[in-house]
Amino acid sequence: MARDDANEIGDRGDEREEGLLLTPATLEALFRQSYRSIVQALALAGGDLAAAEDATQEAFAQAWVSWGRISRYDNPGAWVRRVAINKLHNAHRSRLRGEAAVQRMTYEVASVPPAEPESDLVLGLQRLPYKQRLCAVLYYVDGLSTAEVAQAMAISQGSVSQHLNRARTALRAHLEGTA
Amino acid sequence: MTIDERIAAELRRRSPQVDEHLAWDRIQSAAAKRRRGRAFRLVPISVAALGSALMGLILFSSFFSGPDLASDPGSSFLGTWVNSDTDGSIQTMTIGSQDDAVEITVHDVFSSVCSGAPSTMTGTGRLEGKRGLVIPAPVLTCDDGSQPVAMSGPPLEDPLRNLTFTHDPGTDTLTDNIGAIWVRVGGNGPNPEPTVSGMWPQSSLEEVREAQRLADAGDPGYTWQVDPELAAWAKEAGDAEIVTRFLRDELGWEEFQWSVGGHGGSSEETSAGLMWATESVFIRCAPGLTNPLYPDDPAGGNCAPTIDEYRYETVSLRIAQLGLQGPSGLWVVSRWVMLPPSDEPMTHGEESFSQRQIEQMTPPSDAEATALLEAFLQARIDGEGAQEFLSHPADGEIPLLFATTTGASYETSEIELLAGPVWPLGDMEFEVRLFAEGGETVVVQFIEVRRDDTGRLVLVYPSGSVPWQTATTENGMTVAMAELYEFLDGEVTFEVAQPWDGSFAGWEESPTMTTLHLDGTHEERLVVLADPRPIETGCVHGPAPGDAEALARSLMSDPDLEAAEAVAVHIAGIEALQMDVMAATRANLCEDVGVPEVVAGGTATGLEPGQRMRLYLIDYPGGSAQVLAIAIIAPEDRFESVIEAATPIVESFEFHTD
Repeated sequence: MARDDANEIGDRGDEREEGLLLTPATLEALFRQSYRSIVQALALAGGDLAAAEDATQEAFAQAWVSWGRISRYDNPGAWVRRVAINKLHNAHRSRLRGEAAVQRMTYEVASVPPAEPESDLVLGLQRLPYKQRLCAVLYYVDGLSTAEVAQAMAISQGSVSQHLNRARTALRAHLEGTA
Repeated sequence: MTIDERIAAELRRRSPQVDEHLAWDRIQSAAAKRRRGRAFRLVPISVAALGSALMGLILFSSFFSGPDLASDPGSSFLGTWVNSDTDGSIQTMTIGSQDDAVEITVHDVFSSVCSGAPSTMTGTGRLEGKRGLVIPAPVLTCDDGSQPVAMSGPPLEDPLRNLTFTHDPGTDTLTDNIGAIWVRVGGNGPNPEPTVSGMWPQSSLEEVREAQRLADAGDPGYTWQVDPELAAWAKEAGDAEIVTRFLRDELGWEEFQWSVGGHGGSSEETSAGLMWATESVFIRCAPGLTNPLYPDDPAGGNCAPTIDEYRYETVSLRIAQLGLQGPSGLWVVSRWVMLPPSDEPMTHGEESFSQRQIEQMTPPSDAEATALLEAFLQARIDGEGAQEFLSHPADGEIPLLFATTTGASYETSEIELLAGPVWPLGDMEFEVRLFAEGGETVVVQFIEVRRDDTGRLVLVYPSGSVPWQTATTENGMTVAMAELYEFLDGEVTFEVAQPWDGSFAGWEESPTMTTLHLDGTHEERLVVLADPRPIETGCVHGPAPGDAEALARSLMSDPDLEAAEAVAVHIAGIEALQMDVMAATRANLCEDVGVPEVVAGGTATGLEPGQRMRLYLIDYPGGSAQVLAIAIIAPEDRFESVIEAATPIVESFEFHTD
């Protein structure tokens, strides 16, 4: 697992020009490196691929606009990931508010996964409490370290370890058919 | 393989397929809009892909109309027209007359339906009224002898049938039914813009093939058109030599930049294998001049307009590999359009930055913006009139508008400019601080000052760069704001505040079910459900009962549940039934859900061992449902505290039925 890739992007000091906006090429590199795994993780966590795509793309768009600032962070990838998670939450709330929300319902219904999950492991994932589920997909699907999961979820690394331990126990049971 | 590796492998195998090809383009577009404001909506990728596929499929459909050809066969319809289709190549259409009929011939240098080979379409048309021409049955053939094949959707003949054209005498252009514009070649119409031009530096596919041969042989006159980085998506179009040479050599622009200050355009691979770079809009900058209206803006400060104080010469162009694709393939400008000016003011919408000549707006002065903000903050201190300053009624929801969380009125305020004015629309981002209780309490919010479509300065909360959740703090703590949730098309509303939050999970949401979680946990949740259906033997979902009492009786008789006697309560002034439910000791598990379900709703309405559910059943007063259920679920040891936490939500329910 390439868990330090995002750090490598964030630490490319040689591509920086002091006081100037950086070329978005570094952002595009981050996109090529992490977009797919972020979307997959959030889609598994939320069960809605379109919503995960929207949230992740909006996060990258926001990063683009403020890239001069965000690119100076230690880990811009973690920032994008965290914003995507927040936007997924917000999008969900927005879908339940106002006329726009009502209009989107039709689309959302179409994107809700089948009632019967495809596998025991996915079923097990869906039964996990939200934080355990998000920890699990960020760790197993997005390939983050526990420290990076903690950063993305704005919780302590100890909490991540607890969530992951519980998730691992539950998922292992499903994987081995003992759930 | 460790258990972690096994879980990771299985979950990744089960992960959905993600299409990156359109995503980066959408991000660019969203970034362009976001730079000017926070309000934007990304089109779901599936819709965008569908639109693209449809455009590709009907790329030969064309419509035009004009003077009555029957009476004026030598009219302005006749001649040669060009159009750039969605795969980036150029179509050329010749219209001639033969006796009373009109004949068309359309050549496409790169036809997706011919796997990239050139194609020719011919047809005989008839006039429809004074402005319409219909080609009932055009025939499309691939020049290499292959059979044209639709990439998706209906057979190719369907979208080609009854092609129709409309003529705009004002611009002397033809527009087809999907909005593509055909421009007369060599035309001198009353309004020659937009000017669409063809390939550069080669002008035909044959020339591209010959140039490719020479480039392959190392001819430096052509090797510069080869750009492996661009083909590998490692470079943006704005950095590609084909673009910079085109802008400098062909258009004569000494200085230029992407319309929103960056570089713009990423390469993509089409379903037909064609490599192209997405449509990019570039503006010409006056050489050596600082932008007088935005001298300090990092994106626009060094790009002064060239037409007048506000307007930029603007070109939209696309680059593509029309012959050999991949790292060794030649890149050409496959189309370019000088975008026309518009009488309408620039807006924050995408179309302002992709379909018209770019204009910059006069930025608000510090004094203007400050005066507006100070008036707004004074109104908040005064306790009235502050809503009028906000740009949209929904923004009236700005938290702590007139007082702190403890109800203390504001006494003084400060503002601080964080960013802006941002070129080219002049948005400004401020942090405002409101003080109460002698300065003991400080409320901080992020607010944007921008011009609306009429040019009036307005306030937008929160500013675009700040997450919604953290846009208001009180003494450093994020302030939770109750949100209005709508259910059943707005017939039911209720308010939700942190730490309650909407479910993250798609399977817990539908138009007839909404799930809230407490503190992000799954164990502690509140579910709103329309027409709940009881679970019958074998985990079959039974029919929806006719009223709340019938459902309560059904639950009480369910052997898998331990349900207390229902008692009468009121929800939003309406009589309801309240009952507590737990799973029976030896309850049957529904295989799909893994736990006993109380009513149909999957895991959201299932009960784990040790969990209790408080159920409110309401005879729904509207026509959209018969019964509305509110279920609060929590572990037994936390049940009362969760009920208490859910009380404000339950008490906020309102029914908006006639």
